[in-house]
Amino acid sequence: MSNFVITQEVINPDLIATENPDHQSGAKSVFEGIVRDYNLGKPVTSLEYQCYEELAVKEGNLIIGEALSKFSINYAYCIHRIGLLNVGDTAVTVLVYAGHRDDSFTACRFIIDEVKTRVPIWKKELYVSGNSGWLQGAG
Amino acid sequence: MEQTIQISIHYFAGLRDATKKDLETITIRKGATADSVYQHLITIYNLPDINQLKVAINDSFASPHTEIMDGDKLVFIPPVTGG
Repeated sequence: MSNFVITQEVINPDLIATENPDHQSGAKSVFEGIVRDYNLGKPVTSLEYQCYEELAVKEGNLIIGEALSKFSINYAYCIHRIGLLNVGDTAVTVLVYAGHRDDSFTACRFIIDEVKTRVPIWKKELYVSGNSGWLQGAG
Repeated sequence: MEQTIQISIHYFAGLRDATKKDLETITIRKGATADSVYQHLITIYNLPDINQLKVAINDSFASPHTEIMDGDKLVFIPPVTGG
């Protein structure tokens, strides 16, 4: 089963943790990326995410594999939503279980940082003014 | 007579907007590289410099200097902005 998932459905981070329990771990880290209402001085109404899914899933699973070998963690999972998202929606969630908090925090940070720079997903911001634009490079 | 091959090019994000296409199939000369295909596309569409892009062939990252084969799927990848 893939531990990197692309979805068009609403992400519920609480549900993800419940569906992936790990009772051998002493630490659980969850990162949630959400749509904010302002970027680069412009008020934002919504975001459109586009994805090259075949390569995104391949690269995302590579990142999960790297996290599992680099850090002392028991489990890692990442889900990214695509399509049209509104302010406040969850765009991405990372879940990591580890024996101890240092490894779970570090691996969680590693996964989201790598996803933002390597996985072929793009976001277009739609502004209150009616304009829109693709963002340039990971922020 | 020059030999030709057929490939498909898939577009995402700004490149999709610039070409107004999700994908297209083109016929090119045998021996063409991803870079030479892009140089051809630049003559048709208003596209950024290839130095700003990555290349994927058949759903794997590849060098722009890779020769494209008949039936290949080619994607030029703008800087990613997920998360």
